[in-house]
Amino acid sequence: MSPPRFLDTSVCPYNYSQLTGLTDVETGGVGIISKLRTKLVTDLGWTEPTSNLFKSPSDPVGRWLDVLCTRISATNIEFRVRDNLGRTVITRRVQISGGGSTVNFFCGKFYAIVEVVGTPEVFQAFICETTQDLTLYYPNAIFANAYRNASDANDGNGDAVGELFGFEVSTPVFRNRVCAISQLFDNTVWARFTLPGSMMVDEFILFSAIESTDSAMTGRMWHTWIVDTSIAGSTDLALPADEGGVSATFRTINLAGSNNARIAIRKSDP
Amino acid sequence: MTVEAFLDEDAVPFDNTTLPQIVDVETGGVGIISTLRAMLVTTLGWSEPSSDLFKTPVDASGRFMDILCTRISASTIEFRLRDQNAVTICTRRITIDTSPGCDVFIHGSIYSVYIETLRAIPEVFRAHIVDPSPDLKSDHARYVCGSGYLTTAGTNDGNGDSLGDLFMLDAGATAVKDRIRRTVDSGFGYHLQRESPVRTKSLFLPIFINVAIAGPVQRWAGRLYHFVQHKFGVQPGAIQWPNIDTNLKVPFRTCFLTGDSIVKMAVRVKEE
Repeated sequence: MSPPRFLDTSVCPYNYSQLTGLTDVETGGVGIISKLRTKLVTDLGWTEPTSNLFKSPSDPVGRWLDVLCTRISATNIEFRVRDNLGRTVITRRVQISGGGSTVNFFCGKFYAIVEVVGTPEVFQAFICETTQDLTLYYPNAIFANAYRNASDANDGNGDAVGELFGFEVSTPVFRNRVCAISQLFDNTVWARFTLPGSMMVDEFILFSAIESTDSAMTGRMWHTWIVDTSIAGSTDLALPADEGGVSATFRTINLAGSNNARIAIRKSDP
Repeated sequence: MTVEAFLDEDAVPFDNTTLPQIVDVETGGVGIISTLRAMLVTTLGWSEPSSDLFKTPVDASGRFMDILCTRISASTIEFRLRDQNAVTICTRRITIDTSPGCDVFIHGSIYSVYIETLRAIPEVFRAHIVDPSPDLKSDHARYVCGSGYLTTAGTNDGNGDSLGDLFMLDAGATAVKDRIRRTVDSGFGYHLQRESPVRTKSLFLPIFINVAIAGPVQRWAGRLYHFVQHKFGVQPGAIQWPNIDTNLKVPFRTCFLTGDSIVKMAVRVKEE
């Protein structure tokens, strides 16, 4: 068997972990930054060139990203994401509850996702999986977002599936980048179920506008399936991981649905 | 990787041909009906239970459809498409130019027929049994869809000229609507047209068909065998070679159906 590349753990190893009852984003070696250090640097080969700056390995054509984590306050953390050209994709924040939050970490060789369960507030940064263009370099294949802007406001740009910042031509642009893929041409969106009731899962294909009305597939998000929005957040699903009926456990994240799409990210293998 | 079921030539054999410059839809053993007989019955295992009535092979799950072809005049042919319960899905017509004649492209498989008269404004008749994978073929009974350019009165009512226009048995009654899942559209004003920013090649994606099961409740019935959708900016008749498996490219011919401003449809053809 050979899984499609976006599900290939030999190309993009991954891990999942969780912190519960978190009352400070980072204190005394416990918190989001420390967890990312363990899961990214220790376990997945990222590096930490300077304190709290986590740099991903390079993909086959030399793309990488780095994430600078800054504790703003006990309940507030900021993430700055840059690409391999040194361009800042986002500087945005998430907050936890002062009463204690559960935080999920979905990490991979080419991605990092931090989900504060509750509202929820999600940070995500990743280099796309770019099949069929594994040997062709294009720089704008790195996307990121977080729930709040750098002024701590929820500007509505980071609370739904597909809402991502990414460079288009020469500037970072915010769009909903998930392909609809469950609409008819009359723009009606239908549930992702077949007539007998099976749920249709789709690759999380992302697009960039490259001309005024034209766009291109930039790539896929690693270890991620689009599922129907009727599936609640934080639900564990057995979804395909390889040919021949091989499955793994994917957990839905709590971002609001978009075009009937919710995303489920790989959590564990049998 | 393996070839997906809806593109698997071994499981779903197909054939295609082009009739050159016919001046009568069927006369003297030459024409659309005779060509369908040779392609479908002789080559692909369909049967002809009565004259000019072509029935697909009954698959292991009991699925089949039949198509009755009737020559209305030298320029006009009518098709009646029925499902396995003898429910008429549609009865539609297409026409050719009788002077000086026109080419007719025909694709057939054990689950489909696609006929295109290459007039100035091409006219298409098609009939499909859909691929329900990963559901079983026996999992549901509404798998037949089809359409044709003209009504039985010979008028273009707009129900057979776009790639998504298909008649099908919805909740209790046959209906026509645009049934194709827009897999190449972002839904936010941008259309996913290219494989990547550094390529100009089109994406090729399956064509899922929507069916109503009760009132407003909609579901996806399956994919069209040997058809894909791709970006709009490709000339009809053009041959493209998408990958259908690792290191396996096969030819698809872009259809003359109008499509819309987003996508076009292409049909698998034999390698020449």
